[in-house]
Parts: sequence; structure tokens; C-alpha cells
Amino acid sequence: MAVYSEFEPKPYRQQIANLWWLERMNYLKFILREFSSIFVAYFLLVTLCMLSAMAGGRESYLAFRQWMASPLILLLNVITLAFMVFHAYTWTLLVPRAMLPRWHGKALTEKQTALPGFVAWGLVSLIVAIIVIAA
Amino acid sequence: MAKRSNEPAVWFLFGLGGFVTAYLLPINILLFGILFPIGVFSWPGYRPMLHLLENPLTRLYIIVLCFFGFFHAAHRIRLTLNDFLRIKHLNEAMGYILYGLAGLGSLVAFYYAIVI
Repeated sequence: MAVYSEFEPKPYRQQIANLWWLERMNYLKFILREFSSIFVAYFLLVTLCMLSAMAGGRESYLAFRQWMASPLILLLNVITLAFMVFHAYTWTLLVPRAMLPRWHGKALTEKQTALPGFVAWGLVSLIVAIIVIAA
Repeated sequence: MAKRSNEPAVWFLFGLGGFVTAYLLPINILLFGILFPIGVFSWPGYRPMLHLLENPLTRLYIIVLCFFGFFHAAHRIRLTLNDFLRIKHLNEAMGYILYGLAGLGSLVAFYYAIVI
């Protein structure tokens, strides 16, 4: 940090408010998107719990299934799903930011560029769902 | 020579983690977190689930999901704490703590992916 004497000209530094993220809707959306990371960590920990319950035998697996049905965990899971859908939606919409492909010389719009990403998301989800439910 | 930052390495893990998280986690949460506990579909039994988990592809799925997912979450949490709570001066300490925790989580996932 530079030390300035009393009347020495120094560059203007704008003060940032502590609640800067409430000033605009886009700032709020950004903070919500970044906040989804905590729920990612939460559900990955739940996945580790499931793996440890599986490793512990049939009883611990049944106990884990009971635990997952408890209301607090269900509520957290619903909130996590909402955040994850938001995260996947915004993440796929970043593809046009990285590149704007051309088809027969005409540039594709942002929605057309993001569409294959959404289709791939749906396909992967469907495949995983079929594999897990058919087990 | 200027001091090189470690940012690109962790950003790469963050990027892949975001991709993996966005595509694989929502269906995981929908199934294991909501639909199975409520009862829309029935939980897989112990033996079928074990059979699924013993498949090497599923082991790879678990390792990829947890490793990149944990580092994605750690990177984002570190940056959010910087922006949200304005603790840039603790950046390096938070980095060590968060990425250490992420590494720990990945090690546990790696262990279960191999042992089960």
C-alpha cells in the first residue's frame, strides 16, 4: 500500500459499499450464483455419507435412507436442487461467451449456441436416471 | 522474473468442476435427495446398489464428480468470501484452508471409490 504525504496527489479510489450486491439485480444474481457453491459442497458431503453408509453394510444403508427422508435434509436438498438448476442454466449460457460459431457463414445467436449444451444436459441426466432407477 | 500466481491451476479445476457439477449434480440431487426419499421411485436395494458401485465406470464417475466438484466449490467459496465479506487480506490463508479441505474430501471420495 503506497504512503502519500499530506498534499501529494493520489489516485481516486471509489469506496465500495458493504451491501454492494443489493444495489442491482445483476449483482444479486451473481452473488446467488456464487453462493450455490456452498450447496455443491453440502451435497458432495451427502454423497460421501452415502458411500460410507454403503461401505458399512446393509443396516447403515437403511439408516442412511431414513436420514435422507428427514424434513431438514429434504428441505436442504430442495434448495440445493434449485441452486444447481440455476448454476447449470447460467453455466450453459456461458458457452456463447466463449465462442460464437458460424453455420454456413452466418453467425449463430447466443440461444442457438447454448441449445446443444442444454440438450446434452438433458441427455446426460436421462442416462444417469435410467441407470440408477433400473438398478 | 515476476512471481507467477497459482491462479490458473485452480481456475482450471474450477472450470472442469463447474462443468461436472452443472451436468451431473442436478439429476443426482433430484434422484437421491428428493425422489427416492419421498417415494416417487423406490430406493435401489443394497445388493443392486453395491453391484452398481463395483462397476469401474461408476468408480470413475464418483472420483470425477467429487474431485472436481470439491475444488469447484472451494474456489468459488474463496472468491465469494473475497467479494462478499471483503477479506482479501486473508486470501492466501483461506486458499490453503479451503483447497486443503477440498483435497481431503477428494481423498475420502477416492478411498470409497476404490474400497467399495
